[in-house]
Amino acid sequence: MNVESVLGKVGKFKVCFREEQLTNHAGGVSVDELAKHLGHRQRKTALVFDLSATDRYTLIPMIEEKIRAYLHSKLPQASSLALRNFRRHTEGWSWETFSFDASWEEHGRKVRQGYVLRKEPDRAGVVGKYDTFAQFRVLRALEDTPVAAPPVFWYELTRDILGAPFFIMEKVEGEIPLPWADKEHGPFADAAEQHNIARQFIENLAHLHTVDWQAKGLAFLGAPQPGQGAALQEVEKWETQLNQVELTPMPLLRRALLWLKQHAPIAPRISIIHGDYRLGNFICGDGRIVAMLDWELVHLGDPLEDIGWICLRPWRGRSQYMASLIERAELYQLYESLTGIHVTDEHVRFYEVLGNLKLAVIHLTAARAFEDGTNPDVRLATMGHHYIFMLKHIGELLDI
Amino acid sequence: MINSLERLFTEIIETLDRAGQSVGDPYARSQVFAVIDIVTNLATRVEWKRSDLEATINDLQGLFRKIVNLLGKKSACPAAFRTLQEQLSSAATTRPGEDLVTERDRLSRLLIHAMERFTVARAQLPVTITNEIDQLCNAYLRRQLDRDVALARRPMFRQMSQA
Repeated sequence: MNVESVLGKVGKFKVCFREEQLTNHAGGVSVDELAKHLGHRQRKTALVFDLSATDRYTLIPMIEEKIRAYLHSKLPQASSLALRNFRRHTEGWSWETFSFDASWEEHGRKVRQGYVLRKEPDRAGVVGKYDTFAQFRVLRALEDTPVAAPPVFWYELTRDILGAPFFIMEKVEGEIPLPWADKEHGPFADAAEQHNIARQFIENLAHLHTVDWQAKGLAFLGAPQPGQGAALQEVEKWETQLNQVELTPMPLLRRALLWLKQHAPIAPRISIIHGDYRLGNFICGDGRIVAMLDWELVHLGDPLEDIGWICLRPWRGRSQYMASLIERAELYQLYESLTGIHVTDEHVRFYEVLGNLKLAVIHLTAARAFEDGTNPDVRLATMGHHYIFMLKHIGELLDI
Repeated sequence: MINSLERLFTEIIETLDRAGQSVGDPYARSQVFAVIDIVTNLATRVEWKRSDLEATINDLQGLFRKIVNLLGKKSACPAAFRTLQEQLSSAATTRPGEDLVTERDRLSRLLIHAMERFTVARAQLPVTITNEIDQLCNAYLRRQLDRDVALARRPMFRQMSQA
């Protein structure tokens, strides 16, 4: 691919890469060639190419070309392979996500399939370390269970193809209801729709928490010790993350950590934990939850951790409903009836404190990535003051 | 806000520069570049509000003085807390230098250390003393939280999530 064909395809973009990343993304066009033709200025260790901004950091047509070539390698029986509707999604702030529709001919018949590709970001993200393999393995394991999870096709841990590990899953059609929806009555058309989705939301969670993860080969995720082990493992995880990212001392978060270590509950069982189970992370279609998304925080632990996460204030929007869906008492009752796991306010309160701490640390991680220059997305800098709302909720939960 | 002013201004200016180039309307584009011009000049003049930092520092020093008093005279203070008492006493009376951000962070770290110490060695103090120290620390945390929340504005999640 020469420089002229790059310009012809992409128009004017402004991109910023470390040198080796540019070589990877530009399909072999050297940094010197691009610099000579387009002009550049030096900034820290990156080269900024003045191509003007539509889609920062990614030269879309090049990515599309590479994915097409990759699909060809995975579908050797396919002829006339074509990609349509290729787009990069900017809703999320961590993984890079692309969706596209592929069509081809195979043994004389026409085949169509929608795909979503999730790639680890080249730059630092908001949840710390990424793990493509874990996500893929979990989604693959859930395929023959009642859990609404998108089927997966392939994963690659090498950086040779797209510059970072990635996996490809099925594109699921539908809408993603959000807590901050613009609609007059919240994210749902009416109470009946909300109730219907709420029930499925809890049923799906119950299915997830009762999967036999050992039989599914998911012990590699790291099972915590029984008893208080699950709770303490998570506390330690997020304390370690906080130690790595905090830019300024946070006495209230440290106070919360002291409380968490003293009040760790005993897990009723060890389950697969989604880790970010809430409104905004599932697709609805024709009145059904068709897929749960964003599995990057998946791990093994106390199932009530997901219940605590559901109860966090940010997911309620302007309503009194947990995750903008369901009243707290009804959530507990329905979950208990489906799983046989007893839910208490005290147990859930622990995980609400932990959940707020986790969310605060995620915000601080984002702010740290911005401060270090590893991710210049200014939306990450906004998290450097939004974290205060999680501290407010911690204060209320601990009666500070 | 926890990011440095330098980093915030650098990226605000870069982002506006990129966004400005995408604006079609010439008048609107001129406004964006005027904003960049102003922000670039603000960046050389702005520092974090001294009154906010002084309020936090004064509050922390006041808290430390009260804790030192509760721990009692040096000779009566349990051995597990003597070093802490000296540290708190020194911090409570030291005049902050020019760099108030560094001073606030130093005192905050000392508070964290104190809270950890009171948790670990709690049994060595009378319950009435530990309860009172807990209440004093919580009251400080509450006041600081109220100050920070009062400065925060409503997040623009919906607008930032769209592209």
